[in-house]
Amino acid sequence: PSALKFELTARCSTTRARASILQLPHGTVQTPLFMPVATQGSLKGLTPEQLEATGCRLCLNNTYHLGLRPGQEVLDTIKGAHALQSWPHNILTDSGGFQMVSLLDLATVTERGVEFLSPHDGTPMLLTPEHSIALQHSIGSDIIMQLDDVIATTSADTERMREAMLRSVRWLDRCIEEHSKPDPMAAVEGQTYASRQNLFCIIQGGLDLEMRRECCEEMVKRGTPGIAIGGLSGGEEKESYCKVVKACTEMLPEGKPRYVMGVGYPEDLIVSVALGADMFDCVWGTRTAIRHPQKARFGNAITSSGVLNLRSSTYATDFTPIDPHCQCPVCRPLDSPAPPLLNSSICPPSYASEGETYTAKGMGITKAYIHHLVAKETVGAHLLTMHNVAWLLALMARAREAVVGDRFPAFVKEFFEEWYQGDRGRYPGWAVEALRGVGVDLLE
Amino acid sequence: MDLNSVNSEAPKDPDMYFRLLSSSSGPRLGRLALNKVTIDTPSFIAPASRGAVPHLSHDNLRDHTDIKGIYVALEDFVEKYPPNVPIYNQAAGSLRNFTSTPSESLLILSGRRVPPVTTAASNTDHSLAILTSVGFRMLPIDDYVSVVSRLRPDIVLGLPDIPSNTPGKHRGPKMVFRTDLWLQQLLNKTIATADYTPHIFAPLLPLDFEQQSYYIETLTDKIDKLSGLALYDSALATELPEELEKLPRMSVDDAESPHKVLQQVRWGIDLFNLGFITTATDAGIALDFEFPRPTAAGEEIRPLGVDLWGKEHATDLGPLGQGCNCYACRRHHKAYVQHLLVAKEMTAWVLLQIHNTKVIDQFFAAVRGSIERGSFEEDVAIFGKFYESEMPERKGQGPRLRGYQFKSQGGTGKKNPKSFTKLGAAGVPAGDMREELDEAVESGVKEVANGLEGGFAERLS
Ligand SMILES: [Zn+2]
Ligand SMILES: [Zn+2]
Repeated sequence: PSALKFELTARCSTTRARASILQLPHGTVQTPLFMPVATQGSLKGLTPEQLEATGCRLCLNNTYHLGLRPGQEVLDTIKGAHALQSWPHNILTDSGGFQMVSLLDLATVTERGVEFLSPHDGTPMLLTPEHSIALQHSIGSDIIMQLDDVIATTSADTERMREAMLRSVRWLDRCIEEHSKPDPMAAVEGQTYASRQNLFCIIQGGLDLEMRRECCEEMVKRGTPGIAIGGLSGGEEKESYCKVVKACTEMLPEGKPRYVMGVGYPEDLIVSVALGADMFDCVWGTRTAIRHPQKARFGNAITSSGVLNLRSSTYATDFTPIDPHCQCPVCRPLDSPAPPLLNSSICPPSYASEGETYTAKGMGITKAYIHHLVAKETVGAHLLTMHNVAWLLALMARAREAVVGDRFPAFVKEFFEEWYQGDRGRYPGWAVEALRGVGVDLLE
Repeated sequence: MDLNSVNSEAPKDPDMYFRLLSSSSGPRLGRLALNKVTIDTPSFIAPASRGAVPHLSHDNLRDHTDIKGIYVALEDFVEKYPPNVPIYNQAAGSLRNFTSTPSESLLILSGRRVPPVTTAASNTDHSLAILTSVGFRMLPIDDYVSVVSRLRPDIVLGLPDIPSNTPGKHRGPKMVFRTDLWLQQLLNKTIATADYTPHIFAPLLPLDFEQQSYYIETLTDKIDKLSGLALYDSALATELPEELEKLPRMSVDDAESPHKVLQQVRWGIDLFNLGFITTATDAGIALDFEFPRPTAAGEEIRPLGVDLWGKEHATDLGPLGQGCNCYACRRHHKAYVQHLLVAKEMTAWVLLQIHNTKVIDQFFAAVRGSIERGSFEEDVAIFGKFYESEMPERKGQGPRLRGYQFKSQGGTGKKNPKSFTKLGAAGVPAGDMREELDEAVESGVKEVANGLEGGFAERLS
């Protein structure tokens, strides 16, 4: 069983880009789609309404964080993460395994699950595939992810990589079994969790294309309603990343959504869409909007002509919007009407209901004012986050329109042209190469 | 982008700017109508930080609060030395354009924040010692005076000369002398133009009336040029000469609780620059009081707010305040705010600020109703008996301190102690995953460790 409906609406006649309508338990979204990460149930100071105003109808929560806080018991009591954050739209959660392995040096992966000693009192602890799924049931997310054995793609240990890939397949079976249990909250008795939540498998196999293909074959057999490509964005070469995505999309069934985990830099999004991926999540666009003490990279604004660091004194007297073409409430002129909905099938925002006062009208914020606020007042972070999320969502909406109108290759060229302000010398080789592989020559 | 029109409407009838609707002494009712904003008094304005009301982005300010006035300090805008001060040089024009403040809120310009951070240097006859985000510096009085016509705040406060220490015997007269001098400069050099009418408030010093009686007398001669009074000691409102009674009185006295607000209302204050809304928000406290008291409730003394850090709120799906109709209470619940506070997510303070502002707005509406009914004194007594006298004590941690807040708390200790230890390099991936980790690490490995038993994983033995 599945709790989604995936309808492919258009295919690019040159590249592998696709456009689809994806119906999920909490409303419809369209792909290609960017999904912002609201780690602990909120996104960098935004209210759910403000997130809606960016056009978002599907966001991520992290199972690891929600499992710790507020914890499973509270989630069960208040009936899940939608109720916790009053978010009427869709939520996707990860398995929590990745943070577990990465955060705790003492963690070891065995067939049972991720084992570690409690840093608190040294007790042995265990995160199993079953427990990860049970947590995601408590969260109630519309898309849940299997627990996978994830190791850095850059690892040279082929044997360990293969072990991880095969184990991920075995864990998928355990996740499916757990997910097929009767759902006590089901409307119809005997229905399983799978009728209200969608379990996605995660393709593993590092940078080894053969291994990836083997994994695709095994996992596709299990028939999950959606498929994720995992283990990427961990510092591998972009060339290898593109090859992996391409090798996977070649093997994956046309009729299911494909989610590339952890990807969200604008160029990566465009190239990945061209390679046939549909869904993306990334913390980059929101992380970069606010302080990041070690890296001093906060204050970054995403615009069609590249990333601007608004902390630079250049912007102290720049009284133009962050991106003059942007339709988000931050960039639109003061008191101008709310931004139009990103696409035809998107649900109206909750603030459109009677009795709500939020208007999403324009704020007319300038680069100079963001420069004035950034890193000194959290309002600066709220505004920049809102813009960055809206911008990435709008980028994907534009890509989708281009696919539907079968002018995606031209759109890709325009995007790079603008992003590098016409300087083809700066086009990254990996992007040129990957796009050439699907019939688009950026330098033509 | 035409944002210029906002400030251009001069009041048609000067008498309409501020009208007293009740007796002129004691608690009084009034209506201030300026540009596009009408404020029924007594009411409040909110202190801003760098032009923004803390935690409230412009859409939330406009759509979810009734903040009709924002107190802005020039010291928040002048870190660079002239001629490179952006706000002096902007082509677009006004303070409102610079800060993109919605037209629903008046902008009130002053020199310093309330309460101001103690500066190393002292004021001089011609300059004010201020704190900018890059350190202390002197603001020439001429600069303040000359930027008014350019920044076009709806209301501008004359600069007071207030030393950081309690003034000695001889300091008092100097304070009065300078304050008078600086006000004259402001009055003489700020000229109404076709599209801007300045509204200047004269500052009253935190000194005994006698010490500044001469200065206050001279204000009666300048009354045609004055639009109001800014009181650094609200008690002075009871001693003002009759000629000044028609001017609106703004308290810059930093009333720290509703009880103090009520006392100042009794003295005849019309507008309050209220810092305690943000103080409560930062502390994680949802204000919870009604004037004079909720109709159905017991007799036990009630706290003025609820500390939402408490674990007991973790599954409480009730609103932040009983019967509150603010966005935070309509759409969210205590459990969410409690979770966000503990997770140190900024949205916690956003929701609290929206709620707390609403509580204050309702409070003032009730105060006005009470004055109108003539039951103010009785109601104050009821309120005083029903609620604790002090705001609840701050228990949880506030938001990460930044800029001015950081300095204003003084001290030398680290304000944002690192709550985590560095991870080993082994097995830590790069790129976005690394950032993901940073975030998790930031939220505190230690806390995470303590929380592991909270249900994320199973105990093996
Ligand atoms: Zn924007
Ligand atoms: Zn409320």
